Amino acid sequence: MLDLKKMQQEVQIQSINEIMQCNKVTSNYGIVISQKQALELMKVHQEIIQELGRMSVNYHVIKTLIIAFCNSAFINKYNQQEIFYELIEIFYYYRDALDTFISDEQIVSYMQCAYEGPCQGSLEYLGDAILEKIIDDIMAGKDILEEIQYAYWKD
Amino acid sequence: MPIGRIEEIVSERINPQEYFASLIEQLSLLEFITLDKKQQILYETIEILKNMMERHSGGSSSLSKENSQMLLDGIQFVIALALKQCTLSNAISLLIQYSINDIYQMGLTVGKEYVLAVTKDIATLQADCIDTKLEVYNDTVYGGLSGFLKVYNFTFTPHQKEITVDYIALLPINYLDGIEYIRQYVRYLQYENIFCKQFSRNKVDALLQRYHKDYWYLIFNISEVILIEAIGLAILQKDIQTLLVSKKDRNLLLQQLQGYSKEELSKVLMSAYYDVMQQLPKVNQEIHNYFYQCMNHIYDVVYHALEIREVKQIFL
Repeated sequence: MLDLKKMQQEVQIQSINEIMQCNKVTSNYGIVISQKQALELMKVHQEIIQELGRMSVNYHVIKTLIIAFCNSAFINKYNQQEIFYELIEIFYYYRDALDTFISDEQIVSYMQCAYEGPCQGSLEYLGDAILEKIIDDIMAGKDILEEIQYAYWKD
Repeated sequence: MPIGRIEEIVSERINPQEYFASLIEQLSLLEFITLDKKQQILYETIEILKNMMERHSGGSSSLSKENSQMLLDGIQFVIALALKQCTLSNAISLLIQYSINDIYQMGLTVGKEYVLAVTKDIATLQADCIDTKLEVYNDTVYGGLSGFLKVYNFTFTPHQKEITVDYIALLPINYLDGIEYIRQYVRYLQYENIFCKQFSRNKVDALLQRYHKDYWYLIFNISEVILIEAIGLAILQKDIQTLLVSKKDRNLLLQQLQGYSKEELSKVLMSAYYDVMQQLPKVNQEIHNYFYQCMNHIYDVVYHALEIREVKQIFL
């Protein structure tokens, strides 16, 4: 049978270029991802995926997170690397907890909304209390984006 | 290397259960496809996997390792369905000329046709099944096969065969999975049903009663018991439709068969087998071919019974 691990290695090479292409957008906000940083982000991605016993055949999530968060008021060229590492990690905690309830894009939109709003740039809050909130909201059948936007305006 | 020679080598080394992956591997080893082509096939397979992962999870690009491997196995199964439709040399040409996604789409069409055909075949099988008290047979034909249709998921797990098939066909089914396995199993049961229905229901019931007084609780193949009994009667040149070997006949059979060498025994059994099949008007070439393939097993059963001098367990 074809081996997933080998397939992942093949994809890695192709994905570095895709992540670097984000610079076309992010450079407008003073964020530039170097090749070394792209590789590091992919490494973090692999580690967290492995830790959670998951499998992914692309690095689309990294690209989506970078594009979604590059215009954040809380991210700049000095802290970008550290924050993107943590965002990837937090994304997968969300992904794992939410299983197949929502898409990757919905999770990223939610994280972005929460990070800019109620979290006010706190990754700790985003990865802890907000994760609990989204699980509760989904279980209660609520519109998660509306819920987090409401929380933002209420604050 | 000419395609004929490639075909010869590959056909010997191919793993029927991992048809697609082993075909690619062999073609690459023989340098019939370049490393670039192999890489391209891999990328195209990943693209299909990516789409399937998103469909399976409702938009997630990651899944648990088990689920990801399950989806990949399913994709390979579908691709193999398309490749197995043609000769090996045509399958190789298909891999070279078409994209993996095109072949995957062809496989999906083939698989969907199989599912429709199997659904019809199961309904036919249930309508024409043997009237018997054997529980394992009835449970499988009515419960197991219908259950399979309910749980089978061709989209995501086409290679899986979640089915309770306790009634084993006379000819073992190796190297097939998913819908291919069920298709073959239903076909085999249809052959066996036609064969068994060539004999009177009462005679078959009496034969099975002699096999075991509470036979309906046991697990065995009905056509095997009937075929051996009929072969025994054919050796003695008696009416096979009686399905009854008397004590005297059994002793005669023991005396006659024990004197034979392995080769002679095989010849006698085959000759009797042809006799039996000739006397059954509804046995067509397809059914004949099926039971012909079962004769190795029948030979083993008879040989073993003769070795331990217990023919009363097979000639009833």
